[in-house]
Amino acid sequence: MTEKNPVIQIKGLKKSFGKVDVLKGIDLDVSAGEVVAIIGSSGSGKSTMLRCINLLETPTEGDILWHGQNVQTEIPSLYKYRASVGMVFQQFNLYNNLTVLQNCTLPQIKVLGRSKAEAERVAKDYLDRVGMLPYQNARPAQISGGQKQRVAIARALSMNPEVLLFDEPTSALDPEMVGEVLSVMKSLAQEGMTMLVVTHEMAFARDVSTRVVYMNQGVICEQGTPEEVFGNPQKQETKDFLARFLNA
Amino acid sequence: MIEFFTDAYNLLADNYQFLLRGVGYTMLIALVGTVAGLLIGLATGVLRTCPLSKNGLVRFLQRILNAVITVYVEVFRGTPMMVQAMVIYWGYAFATGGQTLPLIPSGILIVSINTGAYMAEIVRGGIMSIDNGQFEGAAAVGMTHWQTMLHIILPQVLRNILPSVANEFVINIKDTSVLNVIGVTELYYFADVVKRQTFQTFQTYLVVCIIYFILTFSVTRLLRLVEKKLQISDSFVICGSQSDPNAEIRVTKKPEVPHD
Amino acid sequence: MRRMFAIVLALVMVLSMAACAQQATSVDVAAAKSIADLKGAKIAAQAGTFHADAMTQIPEVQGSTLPEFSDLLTALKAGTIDGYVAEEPTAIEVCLGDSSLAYLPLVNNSTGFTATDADVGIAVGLKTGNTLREQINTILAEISIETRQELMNQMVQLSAGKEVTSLALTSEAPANPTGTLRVAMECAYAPFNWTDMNTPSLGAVAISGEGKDGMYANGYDVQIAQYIANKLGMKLEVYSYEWDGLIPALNSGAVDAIIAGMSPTAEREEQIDFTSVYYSSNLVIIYKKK
Repeated sequence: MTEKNPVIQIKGLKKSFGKVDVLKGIDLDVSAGEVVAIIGSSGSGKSTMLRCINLLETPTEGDILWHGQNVQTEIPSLYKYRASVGMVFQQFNLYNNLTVLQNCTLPQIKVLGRSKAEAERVAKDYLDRVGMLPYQNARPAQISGGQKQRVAIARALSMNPEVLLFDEPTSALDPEMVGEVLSVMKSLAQEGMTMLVVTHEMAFARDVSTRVVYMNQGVICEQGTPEEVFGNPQKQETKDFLARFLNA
Repeated sequence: MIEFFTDAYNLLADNYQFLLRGVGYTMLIALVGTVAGLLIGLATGVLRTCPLSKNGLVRFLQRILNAVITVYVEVFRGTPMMVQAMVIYWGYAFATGGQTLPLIPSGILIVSINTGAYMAEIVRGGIMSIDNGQFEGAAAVGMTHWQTMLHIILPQVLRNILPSVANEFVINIKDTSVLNVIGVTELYYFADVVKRQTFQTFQTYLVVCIIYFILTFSVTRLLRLVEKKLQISDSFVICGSQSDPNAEIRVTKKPEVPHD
Repeated sequence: MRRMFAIVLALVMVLSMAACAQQATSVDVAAAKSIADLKGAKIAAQAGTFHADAMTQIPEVQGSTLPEFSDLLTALKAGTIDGYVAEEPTAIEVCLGDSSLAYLPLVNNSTGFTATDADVGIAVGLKTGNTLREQINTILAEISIETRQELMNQMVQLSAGKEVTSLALTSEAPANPTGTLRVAMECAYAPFNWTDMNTPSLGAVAISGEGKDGMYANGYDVQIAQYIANKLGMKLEVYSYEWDGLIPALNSGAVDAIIAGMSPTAEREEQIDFTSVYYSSNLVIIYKKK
């Protein structure tokens, strides 16, 4: 395996909210085509780290590099950068006032400057891929959680991002809807999309990801291939976490 | 008793042109004032929720603007519109050495900035009530604050605050009556003139009272209808199955989801 | 429901008690020969006028003020006051229009109120230092006492809806006006100045300003204003303002003169200039006949 240029580099990332230190120094490189599953118990800082990458949270200390450029000081446009780093939220965050199709076209038109016709063509393409094309005229309030999340993924994909960030995409779903979302994510992974996935779905982490990162109390405790982390965890914390999780 | 109603009828018959003109100006001032006030409210809402810039100078200007907006809101909410009308109208006349503002436009101006101060708070409340996820969903795809506000947040805010806006409109229909202190020829102004002519104080005010009520009541009903209409477009479809679109149970007709 | 009923009942009780209290202190206004006989009566006057000051000359008066002249009449008819202070021409006009009313013909400085010309005379208000003052004084001096009295009588008749064929005070309108004389008045103080709706009475002048189409001003003040404007060779424009808006209108420059039945009191002299007095009237009390 040849060493690739990392797409995202996180260097010495720290983040505090008031007196609470949530991230205590994170270093992580993500290369093109990698699917990184980030696991860890609640409050370990997984989501905060993900939100720091596209600057939904401003880092207290440390740098985020995008193709070697510091995203806080060196990149030409924060908005263009965010457009190339798609994000899928736990709570979907679809625009409630717009239809499914408009949810996918508005960002393209406003941020990428695409024409309406082109935006619709792209959006319909991706809506079809996630099986939501028949609902293109529905509003978010009219569809189920699983459907919303599939639309959210189509919206993110419509921007043709280089990287997709998933922030616990299945945590707010009823159990019977988790599968439909995971299968979409799985097919994306197989096509070589670079993904960072914060998740509690251990099966997904084990079967789909190329690397598993275990975070604990604001630091990366252990990382490696799924086989390494799940099959032969090195740290006691990782063992405890996995044991707790599998017993739960 | 019968004499009383004859008086009231004669009063109406003799002066209906003037009262009608008064109704026209009252509605014009109230309507334009409410819409303009809403626009002021939306603008201040966007400005006040705008994240502070990293640029020092811009940030300083933002702070000043926010302070100005706060002062504006507090002053105009905290003083009676009648007093504002006097201060603005005569203040302008003194400042310009005798130029007076045209009456109807100055009436509209006064109602607009007064309503704007209330709307600023209504819109601010409306924006704060929007789920943070809507902002993050827009920020994450790279939309700017203005784009987010214009296309995502404000449409939702508008829908949510519609009842409050309707309420402001009704209040304005009634409150334009204070503009008679500067001689704006709205309904109450003519009521006052008719009263002085006929010396039939009670009859005149009763007639005008009924006219005001008809105005506010019909506006309230009309806006209730609009509200209902907006609610219908948001009615939901129950999904019978996650994978088969045909299995959904539609509660209303719109929006149409196609069969395949 | 029961609570509502209790509240309504309580209100009725309070109101009826107030009504009793009123009757107990009622004074026979009609029989009074001088203001001393009005002792303890409930008398009202228009706020911000000399009338309100004069009212306090009545011994132990239960005085009150209301913002507008028509409000005083309403209060009198509703029975909340025994009478109100008015100028004689107004009193004649009001009593002509309503047979249930009458007035006490008090004479200033004898049976009636103690008052100077500055208190009860009315004069043209001008911005301090206005050079028109001397010219207007000359013009006013030409109008005889008899003409003034006759004109006032005609105005009383006109405002009461009676027919008048020709006015006592007339003048030629200038062929080529040298300017405009903008005059402010309430247009709400008959017979000095009032508003005609739709049909202008003899000698009425259209009220200027936005949305005032179809409204005309007439009255003693309007005729005087018309006379002054004509003699000055100027075109007359009448503007109607609230009483409290008259002095601001003059001082801001929105109008050139106030001709509004305004008395040249010392307080007002501090803010504006006055010409000589163009009418002087007795202060009387309007009351309801028993």
